Amino acid sequence: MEEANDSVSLTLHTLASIRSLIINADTSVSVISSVFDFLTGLLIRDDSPILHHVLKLLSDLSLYRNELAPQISDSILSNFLRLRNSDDNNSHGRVAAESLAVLASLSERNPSAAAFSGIDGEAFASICLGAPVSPRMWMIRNAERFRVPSSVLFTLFFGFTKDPYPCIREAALDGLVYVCEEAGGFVGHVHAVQGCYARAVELLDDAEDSVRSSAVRAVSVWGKVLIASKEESNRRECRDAVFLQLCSVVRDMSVDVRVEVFKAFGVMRTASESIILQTLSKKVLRAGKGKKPQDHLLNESADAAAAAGVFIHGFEDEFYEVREAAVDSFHSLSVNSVEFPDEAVCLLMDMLYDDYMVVRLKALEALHHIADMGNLKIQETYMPAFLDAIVDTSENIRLTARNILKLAKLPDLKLVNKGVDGVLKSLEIYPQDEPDILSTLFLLGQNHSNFVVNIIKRFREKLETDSGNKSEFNSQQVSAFLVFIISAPLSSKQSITSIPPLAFSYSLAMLGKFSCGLHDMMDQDTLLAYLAHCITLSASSGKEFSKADMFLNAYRRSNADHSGSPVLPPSKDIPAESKPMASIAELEIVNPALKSVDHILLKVKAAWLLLQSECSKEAFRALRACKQELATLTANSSISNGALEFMSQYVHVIELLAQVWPHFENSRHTSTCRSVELELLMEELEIKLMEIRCRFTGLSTEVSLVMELVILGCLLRLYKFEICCRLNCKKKLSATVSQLKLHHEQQCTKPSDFVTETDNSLQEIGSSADISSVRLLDLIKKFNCFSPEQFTLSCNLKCVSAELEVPGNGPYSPISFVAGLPVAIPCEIKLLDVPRDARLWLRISTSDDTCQFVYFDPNLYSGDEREKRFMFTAVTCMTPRAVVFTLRVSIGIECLFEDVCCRKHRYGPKHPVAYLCKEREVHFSLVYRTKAL
Amino acid sequence: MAIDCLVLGAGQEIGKSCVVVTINNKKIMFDCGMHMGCDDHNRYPDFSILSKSGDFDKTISCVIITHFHMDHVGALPYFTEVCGYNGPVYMSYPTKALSPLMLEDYRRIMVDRRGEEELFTSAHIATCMNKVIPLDLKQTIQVDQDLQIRAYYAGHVLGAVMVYAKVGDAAIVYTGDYNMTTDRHLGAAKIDRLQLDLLISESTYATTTRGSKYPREREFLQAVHKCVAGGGKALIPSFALGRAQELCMLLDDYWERMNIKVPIYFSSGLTIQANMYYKMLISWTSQNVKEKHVAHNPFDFKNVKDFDRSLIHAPGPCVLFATPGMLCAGFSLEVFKHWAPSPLNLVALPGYSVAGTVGHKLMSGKPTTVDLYNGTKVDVRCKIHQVAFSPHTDAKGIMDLTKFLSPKNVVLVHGEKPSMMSLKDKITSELDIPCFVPANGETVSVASTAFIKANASDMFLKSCSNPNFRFSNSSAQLRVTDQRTSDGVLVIEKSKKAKIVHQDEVSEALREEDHIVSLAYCCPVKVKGETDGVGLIKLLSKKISETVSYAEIHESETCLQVGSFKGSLCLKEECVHRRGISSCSEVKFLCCNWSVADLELGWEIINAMKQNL
Repeated sequence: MEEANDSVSLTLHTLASIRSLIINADTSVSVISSVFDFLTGLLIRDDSPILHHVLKLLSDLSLYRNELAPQISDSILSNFLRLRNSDDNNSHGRVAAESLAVLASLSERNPSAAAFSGIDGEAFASICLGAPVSPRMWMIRNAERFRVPSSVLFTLFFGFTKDPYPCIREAALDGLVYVCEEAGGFVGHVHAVQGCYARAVELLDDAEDSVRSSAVRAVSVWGKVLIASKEESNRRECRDAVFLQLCSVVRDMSVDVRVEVFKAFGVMRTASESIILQTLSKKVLRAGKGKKPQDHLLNESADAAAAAGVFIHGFEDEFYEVREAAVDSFHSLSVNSVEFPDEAVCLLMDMLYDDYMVVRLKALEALHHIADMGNLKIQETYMPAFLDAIVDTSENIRLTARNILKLAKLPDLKLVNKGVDGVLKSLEIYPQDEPDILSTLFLLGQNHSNFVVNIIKRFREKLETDSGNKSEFNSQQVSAFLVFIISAPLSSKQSITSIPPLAFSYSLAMLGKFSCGLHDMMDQDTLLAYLAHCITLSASSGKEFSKADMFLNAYRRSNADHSGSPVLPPSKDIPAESKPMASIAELEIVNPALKSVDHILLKVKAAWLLLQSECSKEAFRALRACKQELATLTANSSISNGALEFMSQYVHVIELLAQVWPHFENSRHTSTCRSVELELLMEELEIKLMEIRCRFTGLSTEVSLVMELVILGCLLRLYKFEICCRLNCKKKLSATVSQLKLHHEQQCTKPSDFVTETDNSLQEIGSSADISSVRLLDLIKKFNCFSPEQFTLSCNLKCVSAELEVPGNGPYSPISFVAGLPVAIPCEIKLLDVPRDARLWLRISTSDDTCQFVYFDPNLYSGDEREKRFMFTAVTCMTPRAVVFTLRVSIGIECLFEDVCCRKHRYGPKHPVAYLCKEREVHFSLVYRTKAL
Repeated sequence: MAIDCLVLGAGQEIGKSCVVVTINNKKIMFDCGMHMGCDDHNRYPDFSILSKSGDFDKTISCVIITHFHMDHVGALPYFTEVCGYNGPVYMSYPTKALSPLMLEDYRRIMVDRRGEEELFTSAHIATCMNKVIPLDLKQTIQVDQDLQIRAYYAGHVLGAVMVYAKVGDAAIVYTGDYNMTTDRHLGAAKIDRLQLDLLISESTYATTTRGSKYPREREFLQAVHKCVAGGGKALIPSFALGRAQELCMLLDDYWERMNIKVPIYFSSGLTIQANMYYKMLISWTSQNVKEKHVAHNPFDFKNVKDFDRSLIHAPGPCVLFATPGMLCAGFSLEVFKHWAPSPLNLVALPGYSVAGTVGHKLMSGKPTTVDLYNGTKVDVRCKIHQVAFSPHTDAKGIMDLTKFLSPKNVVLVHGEKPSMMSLKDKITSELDIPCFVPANGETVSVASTAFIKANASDMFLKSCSNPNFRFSNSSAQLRVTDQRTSDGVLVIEKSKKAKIVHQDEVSEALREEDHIVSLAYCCPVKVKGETDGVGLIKLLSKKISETVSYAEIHESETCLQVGSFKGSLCLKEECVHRRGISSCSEVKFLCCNWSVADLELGWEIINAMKQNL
């Protein structure tokens, strides 16, 4: 006995000195290797008190000598396997677990040395069962590191929930949660799920706090699996049962448990309306009385009374962690229940006085959400809470509070005044918030335009007191007032005349500041146009009103389309399918590219309306901005290149129209030079439209848009131009109108008023060539192709395009030719998205505009792939008697729908051609006959 | 064994709390209070029930006071100094600090102002307090060899505790007064999940269910704000400790937030002293206060000043906290006399007022005149606001606590009889726990837990060291059991200590032989032609090996064996295992028996053999 003890102490002593050898970086390799040999030798001895130290030393050794790691891992693994195979499993439990720990950390440290790649389930289970408590707990906690099959884990964890040690029960429950959540959604047999849930429910009554809080997690997670496993008809009942089960532990004395319960409500996300209502009242509601959703799982009935006042308790909890979790889960519940009572809002409002910033912020976020759904009525009682939030020291709280104010509807002037005061005060304290504060005031003004007169009165007073001191004029307060006032005309309730023009002109001076604040509603150009417009209107007041309305309507509509969509970014914990209605607008919000396209379309619309109200300069500017914005967009998964191309073409067309427009607005008689300009513009417009029509494939709703533009072009032409082209024009007009009508019939859509009117007029005049110009103008004015449904860009919109290259050709490396003889031009051609039925031509033209068309054999590009490359040799006879000359080549597509026959060439296309690429110059030089040798 | 719970006070009433519990022959007195509404001998609990001789030291192991309210501590000096109890008295640190203040204050009012007979002197109070042993939260105190007590946080007032007491295996909890929700300055009650035989709970609000506290706070603040904004004076009569601090914190916060400059006064020196205690005893306050006090002690009220008598008639608005509450006497009543006639002023009454006090009269209606005790009448034109603040838990809180602790029995004290009855029904029906509502002087006896100690055999201990799960699939759900304990068998022999042995050891321990259940069946087998016994066995063995693939068959001349299954030719005319088939020439019988372990194998073989028929 004496000796044995002696040997142990001796070895421990030796081990300690070995450790110093290992740690010392200067120890020679030979010593280290003998140390390694010695230690591995010790491994075989089944001396468990020593083995613990040996394993530790080996782990240290691997840390200091990385190159030995694979060998160390091998030797430990072989020893581990030896231990496993030995009969006396029990005494080795601890050693086995420790070996595993070292192995796992080794393999995690150098993943390349994959000597250890998990152990089989059986081995894992036997170690777990055999080991004493602390290694057992380690094994359970680290199970995920050993790549053990989920089924084995489930069985083990499930069994260990019966362990007498609370720490093991807790770890086992956490493991069950892990199995359910992480391990690839292992969902066993229904019985297993039910058993697991039932066991977790049992452990809600455990004596140990930590076990209970783990049990709550397990109940929520397995409850969800259970709910999912039920048939549709039973799900609701089952969900309620799980919810009530959780409610029953909400009054636990342990803070952790309460926090977990509220988090679990957030996980559950929803329950029956009656239960949710019950959670808001401590008194048992009549609806809840007697209603007992059967808890099929435990064959007990859960009473809705269990849910009584759950949130009241949560909100007035002593610990802020609980309050925070309660507010958070309250938020996610309110997201998913369609109707949410006012009392709920009151409860939340009370939380705005909480001492903790986190809780206040969460409460504000929840309120913001409710406001977003349009359910928030701020009562006077709660106004101080809001105003406190607006001047809170935390930036997040201020921001959220302002966001609520942006959406809120305040019932009376007193509150509006209070709100404005609060915002002004916050502006004073936190000048850095100015942009957002301006935007808040703008929206607040828009929402409460009926109180604007009173605010103007206050503003006047303010201005008068300030005017003594000129330097104060530009103060933030004034700008804040202004932004509030100028927003009023945008809501229909307020007539523009009540606002002094002064307000608008002052605002012009602060354009930069304002547009910075309002950037998400309108850009600087629009704002400028708007202000300018308001100035004229409020000054004149009278007949021009209709136009103002048009602008405002346009803005309003665009706002409704655009900024009116929920301000909240889709919360992470709300899956898309659970939202009551995921409108298109919402989906688009998710995608920034689509959003900006939308934005551009709205701007185009606004520009068009500006044009109508004779603000052509602003309109041009807006359109140019659109073009620039388009140029910055890049194609991605949600928006194809074709769609972008279509957009830019479309904007271009509108720009052309904008250029054409003033010619029609002014009197009919214009100077010739202008009419020539007009003629050119019209031609360009028509060509552009033709190009759009034949270059884009996959058009769906856009067809009608393009056709309407064509019709408009015809009408313009009819209105403005000489009698000579009328017949052709009218022919084209009626052809297009009937095509469009056909299109609408096929698509079962309703043609726009513009089309119907034009059609009617055409039928009225019948075959006679003349349409009265008044009627024409009337029709033209009707044009409004900006209804939003025309603008859903098809995602499979493709643009036909081509690239043409003449390899090796240039001014200094021309193609040789012999005058009078045909010459071949080698073309390298790349085609993109060419439809099968397209007719493609190669156009070869000289400088004097004589041209030759060469037809492409469709077989050249008939493949299925999107992009086709091929070589094509075009032969031309246009070789003049010249030393050098150039030809221009390009690729065109024949526009089959253009009925107008303009056949100029015998062998050329029968229809007009739209060009797909830029003209390429090809250089030729005469072959000099080299003197014969 | 039984636990006896004798209610000396606060049985079916509120006042003079005193419950004596006997657990395994140890008597513990919980609380020793006096009744504020009585002036006669009924004011104190009837201690004579405990001991006719008056030798309380022998009968009572210890006295435990839960908190410093007079109805819980008021009779203590009387009991120790006058009745002569000298045993240990336990109370929490704050209670020990604050009780003398309360007792002294009460003595002064009773003796100095009303001129009543002195029941105990200041010296009594001092010597009584010297006997007190202070308790800390969750500190387990071994009162004597068998009795353990432990205090848990109860909310209610500063230093209020619930008490857990354990003698042997029997354990009880006496709650005292408690609050299940946090208020401005105190936390909610906290207790572990304990194994209890009995829970003795207060039931002041046995039928009330209160809503959220926030609207109540708001109403109070608005009422006070409205009053001072209109230039009025607000009087808040309250006890020196507890409500005064809570309301003051509330007002101080609000004053800060709304930037109100109106002064808030505290009336007496006592309250200032009390505030000092609150400042010191931060660890007994709510989480919120604890976390805040690092930066600023919330009991350092910024807007609060001392009140001077001359200020009663000073012009301008103010808020005054004056003692005592309920407007029963003293300074608060005096101020009331002066302020009540003005319609600008406000009297805000927090909490409960005992019948017969001015406070009660004000609450029970809107009187125009009030009779004071000395016969003078006062015009009441001021506004009356009742603050529904209470430091007691509501009915739901009592239910929640009871549900959380799940004791075997519940006794309700400290409440009004009708509402206690309805709560009793609720506890009995909803929680399925027997509940008792004893009146003063009554005793409730409940059974107590007693564990038996037993030795365990080595084999059982060994089998216990490792988990031994068994999964079963019953009623459509997976269940797991740990077989460890169910493998044990408790053996109690006469005049020997109980012992747990492993089930494999049972027969040995009982000196009995093992019984093995086996099945037997005499199986008819059809014989073709003149096959003899050996041939038949061969034939069957072949047959069995065809159908039961895993079977390892041993055959001898006339019998065949597969595992525990044994079959041999039965030559008897009448075999007891033969059923329903009479012998005939073409049928031979194979008499089979097999053990339960091979139940299914046996039937499988028999089926195979029968097919040979």
